[in-house]
Amino acid sequence: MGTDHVVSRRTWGIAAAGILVSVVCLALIRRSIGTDTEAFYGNLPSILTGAAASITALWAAMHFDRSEGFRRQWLLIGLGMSAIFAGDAIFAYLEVVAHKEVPFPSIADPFYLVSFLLFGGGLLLTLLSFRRSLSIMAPLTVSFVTCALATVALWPSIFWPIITDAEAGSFEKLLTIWYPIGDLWLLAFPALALAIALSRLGGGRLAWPWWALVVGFSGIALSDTLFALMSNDGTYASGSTIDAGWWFGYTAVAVAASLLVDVQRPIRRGGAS
Amino acid sequence: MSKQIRDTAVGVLEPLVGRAMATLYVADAASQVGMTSDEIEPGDVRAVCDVLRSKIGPFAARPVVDQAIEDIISQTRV
Repeated sequence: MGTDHVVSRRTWGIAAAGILVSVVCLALIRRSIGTDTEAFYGNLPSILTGAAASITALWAAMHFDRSEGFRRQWLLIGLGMSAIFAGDAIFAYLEVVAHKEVPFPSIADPFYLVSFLLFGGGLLLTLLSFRRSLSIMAPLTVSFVTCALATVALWPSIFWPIITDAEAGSFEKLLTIWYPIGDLWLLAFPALALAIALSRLGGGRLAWPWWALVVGFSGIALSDTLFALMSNDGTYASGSTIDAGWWFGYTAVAVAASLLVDVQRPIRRGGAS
Repeated sequence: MSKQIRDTAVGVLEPLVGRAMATLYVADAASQVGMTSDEIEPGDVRAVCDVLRSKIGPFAARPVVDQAIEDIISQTRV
């Protein structure tokens, strides 16, 4: 059974549109550096791919019956993407429409911060639902050790500068440190455990959406981490190349949601659903 | 006949969960019904399928599970 029989045109279209928007905007950003349109092109892909991911994930969740576990898992993931979309929309409004230097913390930050809880909840629900059919203790252990080592490795460059920042208040420090903690322990930890657990399914089509989701969350977590490092150095600007990790990550989440609906259709021999 | 039934069940499940897990799930299901996967007879298929349903249930929506079970039963009918 080839992918052409399972993967819908809708899924291919979402993937192609997300990649196209991201690549075109990256090129336009390069051509508009220093002009008024740089911030516009820097924010546009986040808005478009974020909206696509949140709509597709919520649509996929509602596609399943209330009694199906997928509904709860993807509602949480869809709400997490909606929170990110709301944060990005507020950030873009402040930067592009109101022409303001976006402060930290801004009104966008609560939306970003709550998205970690929703993503982590969705991923952990998924992992727990697999425990009857896959061993999850070994994946959880490997993922825990990996994330603990990453926390130690990132301590001097990310965590320590936040904790010892003399100019920041306690509340600001708490908000700032929530980002790397959320990325490592609410995104990367369950996503890596899920990837290891799913590796046992090999090329089985029921694993495909989860692979895409893991790729998407890895892209988001990578960009978040690079953003934190560059912000500490003062080298980050909206529309930096690292933003592409968010855009491709959101696109992968949208693809994962669409793919979930594709692979969960009963497919008759010969490919007809 | 028994090996044919095992191969059919694995063949139906393989596109869903991969060859390794399909083989493992069929072996597990047969073992829970009290036999090896080489010993499944046509009369045991429904019982084995009931166990398989619980194995692939967490990964698959109900219509996909129903379809897989229906395929195994129809393809192993004598």
